Amino acid sequence: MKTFWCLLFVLWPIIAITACVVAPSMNWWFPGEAASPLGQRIDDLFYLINVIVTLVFVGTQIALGYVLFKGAAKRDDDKAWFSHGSHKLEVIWTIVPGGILLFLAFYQMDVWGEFRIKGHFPKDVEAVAEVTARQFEWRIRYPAPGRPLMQDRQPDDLYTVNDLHVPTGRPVLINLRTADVQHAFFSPELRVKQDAVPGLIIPVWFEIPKRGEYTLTCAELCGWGHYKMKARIAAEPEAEFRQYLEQLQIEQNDDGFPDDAGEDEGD
Amino acid sequence: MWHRNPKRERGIGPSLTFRVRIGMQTTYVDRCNFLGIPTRLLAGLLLCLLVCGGCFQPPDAEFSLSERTKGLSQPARTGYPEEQIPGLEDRLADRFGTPNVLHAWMRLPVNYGGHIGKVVEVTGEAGLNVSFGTDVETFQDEDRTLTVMSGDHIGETIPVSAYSAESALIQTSGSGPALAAGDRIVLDFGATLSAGRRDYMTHCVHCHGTGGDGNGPTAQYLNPRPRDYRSGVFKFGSTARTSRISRDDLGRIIRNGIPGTYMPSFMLLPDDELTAITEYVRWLAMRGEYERAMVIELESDFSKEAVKGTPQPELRESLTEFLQGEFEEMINESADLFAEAWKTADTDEVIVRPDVPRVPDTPESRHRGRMLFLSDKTKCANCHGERGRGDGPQTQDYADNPLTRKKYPEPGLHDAWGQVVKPRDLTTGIYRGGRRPIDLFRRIHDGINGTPMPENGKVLKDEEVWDLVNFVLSMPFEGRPAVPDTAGRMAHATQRGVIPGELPPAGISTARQTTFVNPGRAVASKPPPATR
Repeated sequence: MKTFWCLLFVLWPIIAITACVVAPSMNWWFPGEAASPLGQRIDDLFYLINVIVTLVFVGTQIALGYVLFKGAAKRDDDKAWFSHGSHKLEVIWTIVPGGILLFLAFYQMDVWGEFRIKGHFPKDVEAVAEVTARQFEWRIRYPAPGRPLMQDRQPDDLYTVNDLHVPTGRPVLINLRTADVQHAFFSPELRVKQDAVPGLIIPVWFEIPKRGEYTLTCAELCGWGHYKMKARIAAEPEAEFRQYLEQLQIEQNDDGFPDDAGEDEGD
Repeated sequence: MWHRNPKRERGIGPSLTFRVRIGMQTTYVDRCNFLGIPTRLLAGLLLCLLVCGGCFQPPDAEFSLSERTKGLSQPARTGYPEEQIPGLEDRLADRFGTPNVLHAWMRLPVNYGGHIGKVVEVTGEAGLNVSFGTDVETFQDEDRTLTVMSGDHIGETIPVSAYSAESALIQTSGSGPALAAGDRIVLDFGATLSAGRRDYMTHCVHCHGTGGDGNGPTAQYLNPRPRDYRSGVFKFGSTARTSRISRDDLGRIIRNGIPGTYMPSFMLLPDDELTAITEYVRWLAMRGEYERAMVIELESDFSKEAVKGTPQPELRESLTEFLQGEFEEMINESADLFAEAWKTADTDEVIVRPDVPRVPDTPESRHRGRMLFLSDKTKCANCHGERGRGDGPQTQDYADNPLTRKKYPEPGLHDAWGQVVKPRDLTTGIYRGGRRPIDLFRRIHDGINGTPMPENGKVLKDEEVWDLVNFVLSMPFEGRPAVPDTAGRMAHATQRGVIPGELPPAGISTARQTTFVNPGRAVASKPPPATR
């Protein structure tokens, strides 16, 4: 029985450590590799914390095991020894974790700042669209091709729903708003999550190097149709993105007259 | 838990305190223990069981009947079962089935789905050499069926066990009617409709209801209410006001949603699911129309009072005769009428198209539009208000109900579903029926079905409609400051005096910042669309 318990308690740390080591390569933590450079850095932060926590976990377990086994090895007639604690040890195990936490707090600041603080956004970031969350869909407003995105609606703006197209290879910014209650703009592959708060226009930036379709969902329980709020982020090269906007412009200006080039293509 | 009882100290007696304690303990036991097992644990176990074992079998779904049908007398609804004379409900169930067992009525222009083919040759007991119009993959499956579409056995089904695409050979189970070369057959008949039912039940039913009555469980929280399809009337189509809506229009609404309402966009659903939902919704609409046609037929042949409420024994003979005889023919005629209407809706001839291309969006055109908007010819301002904010005098009026010829109990405009409908606030820039110029043209030219929005195409030339479109599209940008606040704050649009009828000067600026229309002062030109 003794061996059983020993083995059991040895087994758990082994499983835990193996899981920590294997997880990144097996993609257990995240839905695939981060699709944006900043997402990659967020993942790196996660893994760094993971490594530190693993080391601390293993260390404390070893220390605990050492104390237990050493205590068990003592003979029965040894008298118990009472200690009022060691000031030195107390100081050490207060300062060391404090130091680690401080290190983490400062180390992640760069990433946090770049992600959330306007002054630290990439210099060349450009607003491509305004995304308005609404029960229960994402309404998207683009400026006309070649125009900047304005805070207010413009007569030549282009509108879509649940389909956000962005150019690849450069940082892009969307202005996030909500038309009703609180929603959250969440793209798991891009590691972007930002609440949409009534009355605020919140800039959210990201960069997608590779062409592809990425998920956009709502991550804030916003009502009975919350599950319906799924949309697509389609990243495509600059030229195609522009072409997409131009096509959208043609469709949106469709006047249904038969001789027209963009005749009823939106139907 | 033990609290000192103050009464005990005053000498009222220990027995009282004792009882209270027992009482407390009893409640405790009651609430948290059952046969010695803590109820919390029990509830947890029960929940696990439910989750693991799947939930209960849901109750059978049913197509609800309309209020008018429910108001009919028993014999009109269910006939005389003892004499095997079918009533309205029997006919409805026969033609359309229930949500669990759908019936396909070939009189309707519904694409029920399946692979249409022809028997080329009968090979042996259970082999058929067939040619399909569409690609059918090789399969080996016991659940699929072949439906006979011609000959004596029309409508009968034969179970199919396998099909090979190379040899075009179908293996049937051998049972069922014998087929001959040249017989028309359909593999998986009804596949689209039943796929439509599945997707409708997943995405749409909670608002629009099982039968499309717009009264699903979530409907009561919505304003505007979800559409009740059963009249066959849909608001936003590309077809003329008098015709039904086309498949394309329905698909477009499902794909894009309706901005400004709770109808969300289902753009990300695969195309085949969208097609299936569209077909199912059309079918539901036709079911509703059929039901209504029967009620109207009954009410007009007898009288409203005669077929209403409590059964009238003296009517028995004539009702029997009617239900057995000409009723069938009459409702088939009505069905043919609306079937034809649904069929025509998908043809090109009913699509509303302008005779002239859009009039260039100039200040002059907008001005003409404004004058029309305020004129007696269109009476736009009567409902939409002089500033287009949806607050015209009609919204305060008590209107007549066209059915009962009595005044509605509440003021405002009413739609065909008897609900108060607000004229659109045109300054918000939200266009329910779509924001393309052609969408607005159609709304103005042919009105909006089921609402008081009239067909202005009758009184206006197409050029004038385009002027109105240009004016309406410019309305959200009226009264804004000429230069928006670029400091990143939201510019507050102030509704400064839009003076109706004042001719704007021709000062046109092309700068981006002045694309706003400053009322009565600077009017900017819209950059021409890329098409011309």
